[in-house]
Amino acid sequence: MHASEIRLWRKLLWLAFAAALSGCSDERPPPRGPLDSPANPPAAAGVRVSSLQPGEFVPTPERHSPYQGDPLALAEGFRLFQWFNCVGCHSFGGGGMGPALTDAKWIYGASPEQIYATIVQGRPNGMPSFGGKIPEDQVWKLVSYVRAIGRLEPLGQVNETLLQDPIGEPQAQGEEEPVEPVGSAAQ
Amino acid sequence: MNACIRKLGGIAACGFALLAMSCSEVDRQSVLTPKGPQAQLIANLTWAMIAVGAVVFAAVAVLVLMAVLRGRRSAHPRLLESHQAWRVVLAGGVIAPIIVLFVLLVGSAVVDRKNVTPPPGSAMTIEVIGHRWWWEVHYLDERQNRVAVTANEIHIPVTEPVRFILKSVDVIHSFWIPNLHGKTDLIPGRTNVSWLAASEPGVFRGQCAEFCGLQHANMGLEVVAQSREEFSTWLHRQQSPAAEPMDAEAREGMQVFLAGPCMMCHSIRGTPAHGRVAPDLTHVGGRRRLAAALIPNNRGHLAAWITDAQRIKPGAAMPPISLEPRQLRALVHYLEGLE
Repeated sequence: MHASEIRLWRKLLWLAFAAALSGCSDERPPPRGPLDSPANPPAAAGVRVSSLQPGEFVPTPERHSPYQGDPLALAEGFRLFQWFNCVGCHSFGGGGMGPALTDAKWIYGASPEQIYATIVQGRPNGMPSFGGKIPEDQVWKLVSYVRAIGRLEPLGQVNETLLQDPIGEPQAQGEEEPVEPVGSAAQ
Repeated sequence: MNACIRKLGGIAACGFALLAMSCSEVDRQSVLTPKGPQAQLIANLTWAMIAVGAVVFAAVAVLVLMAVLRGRRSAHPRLLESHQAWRVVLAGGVIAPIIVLFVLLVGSAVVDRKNVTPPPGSAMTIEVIGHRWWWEVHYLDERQNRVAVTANEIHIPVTEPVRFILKSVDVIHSFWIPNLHGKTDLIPGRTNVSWLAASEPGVFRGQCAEFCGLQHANMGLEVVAQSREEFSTWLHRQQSPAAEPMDAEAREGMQVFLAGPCMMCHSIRGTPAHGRVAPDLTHVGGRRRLAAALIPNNRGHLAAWITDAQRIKPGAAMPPISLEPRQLRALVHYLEGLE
């Protein structure tokens, strides 16, 4: 090889190295700006929690969690689940005073926006309304966590030992339909 | 010649740095400014070790210089006989270190033994629970009941021994007030006990001394040593519930606190806010600093902390809170009135 060829290959190699480095992504959370936390945030508006509708069926508008597939959000959701005392009624998903979150029965829907609406608006028989009390991005992290322990999203490393049940292996992501499909066409 | 000048300049710079380190601001968090009996013993041992080390270093440096300079002078340097060389090695490399190190060992053992002596049984007890990245402080009475709770600022009566019960809720932290004592770890699942006494009144800054995460460097605390009367007054105030809001703006601030996210994590005794996962704010207005001794406690810093704590202490559990300017002003007014 000529000296100029070697120089060219070396430049290409450095370029490839730099390109590979740029693929490294940051696990840091995105920078958080000031958040609005009204008691009935816009993300919960128009969410239907029942599939019973007169006339033509109108599906709930889809709203995706900003933390889809984010393992840090799952870990944060686990922390917040205890932080805000969700474990007080739901335990670690097995339920108690509140319904279980790890089974396939979702009274008010299992899609992300329906779970968001449930947390923010509250529900009869004891689910408090946390709108305006929990900042919006933290509610979305809780939504990610609740969907993960409900086996609708991959659970990753978060509290696997707590959710080992003798019934069966955790279900694959997104394939299993909940027992009561309600509202959203996203499922 | 240039290299020599540069070296001398470096030595002079180090000397100036050492001089600068002795100014009073650094004394507030300095192992070399002991203000308690344990810290005094540790500082004495430190200086003794430095002195011994300096002597050994000087001796070795002199020997090296002799070797270099003498060797350069004559073309036929005088070499030691084999038995002479062995005697030098035996004396300087075996016997002298054994003696020196034994002396240091005895000194170290004496200091350690004195420092682990438990305090008298009548010592007041303070329970410190480490969180990431703040200190939860409970004052206990004689029967180990919690009588007062605060955060990040500990007051103690001067010259009286105070026992500390150290716990952690998450990871290993370490309780270190350099002016008063060495480090004692806060280990999750285990209770460690330490004790301190301040020999004179003052404010002594402490620091978490075991890496605990992103904001480990910003997990400080302050220990305020006061006279017995001042301490009793302060403790009595800490035991009482929060002051009622004095004016309309403070009342509005209390409503902002209770209606918003604040009460989900913080508690203010005397109001419906009973959150346990964040520092107790019942008497936050009277504290010297906020955010684990990171920022001074005044309106501007408090408002900044509420609005966007993540800019000040990224990774802390406090989320940014968006409030209307009027609400923020009212909330800050209410909180600074909680003295």
